[in-house]
Amino acid sequence: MTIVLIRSLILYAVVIASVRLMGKRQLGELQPSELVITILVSNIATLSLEDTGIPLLCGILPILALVCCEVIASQLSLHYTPVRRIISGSPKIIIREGRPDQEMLRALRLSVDDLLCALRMNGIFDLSEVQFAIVETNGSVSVCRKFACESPTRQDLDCPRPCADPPLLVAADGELREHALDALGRDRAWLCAFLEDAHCRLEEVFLLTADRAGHTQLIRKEAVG
Amino acid sequence: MNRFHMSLAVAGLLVAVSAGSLAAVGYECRQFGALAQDIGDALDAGDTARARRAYDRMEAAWDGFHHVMGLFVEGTQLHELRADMAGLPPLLAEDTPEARSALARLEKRIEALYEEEVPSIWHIL
Repeated sequence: MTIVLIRSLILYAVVIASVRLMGKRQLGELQPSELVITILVSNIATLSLEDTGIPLLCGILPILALVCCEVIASQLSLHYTPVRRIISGSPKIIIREGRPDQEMLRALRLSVDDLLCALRMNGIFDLSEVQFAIVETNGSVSVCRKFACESPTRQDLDCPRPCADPPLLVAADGELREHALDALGRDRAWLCAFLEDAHCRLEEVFLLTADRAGHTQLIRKEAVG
Repeated sequence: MNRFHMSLAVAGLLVAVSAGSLAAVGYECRQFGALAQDIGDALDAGDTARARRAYDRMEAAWDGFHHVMGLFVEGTQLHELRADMAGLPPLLAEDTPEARSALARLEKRIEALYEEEVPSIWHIL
């Protein structure tokens, strides 16, 4: 049992390192190659965990080999379009100028129900509202509405937001976030003055946010018990 | 060092580890196989006492062999080899067909351990 425990810890470290090596791209929508790698890595790790007769090296080596292949392939696909086409495929237009491309839908084996489901997941319940719809390489469907059906933006309404930057977390749970102060162009003196005005000590702060326009939100810690 | 370079470095390391494992398995199997060969030579000479001493040397070498091979080879194969070895001493009291057969089986198992690691097209497929 101790051997299984130690092997689990080692494999955990290897799998975490592998996922980190693959990068953040891996953690979002999966490309076909990434899906394959994820399934293979989890399977190999499970085999090595379950069977202590298999040398740990025989589990670690293929995991790292697959991850290296994935990173190298993704790097190559970044620089060479043909490689990208082979590994990830290319986006396919399934609705063009409001008309479903039936041939493409057949080629992608998408039924009308699948198409309408994908549109509904994009918040569109009427096919006539769609100008373009594209099946991305990761299988998701991106939709562009017809101009007449688009919601007006703040810019259209000539109603710009006074401060475009979102508020940052300056202090949380009694701890100061120095980088947030730097990002806001403020310093400790400003924070001390603000807290003094609010009759609050830093240790009493549950949450303090601020933006560049000077808007702040302070929530004090609640008394325990 | 970005991810791409790190991946290239890890890939290089993996190739080195693979080549190293093949070399280590080859070396260990040759050394261990030579000890089995000594037992066979002693039996050929009709010297059962020498055969027994050669077996003792093999027994003494087992731990080192097992430690290295355990890194690269499945445990069940090593257990089978160990079981074959354990059955050998009683048969070495005299040169009998059973002793020859058990020794031949042991030598073939050692050979097979290395051969299965060789990346030939037949093993890959």
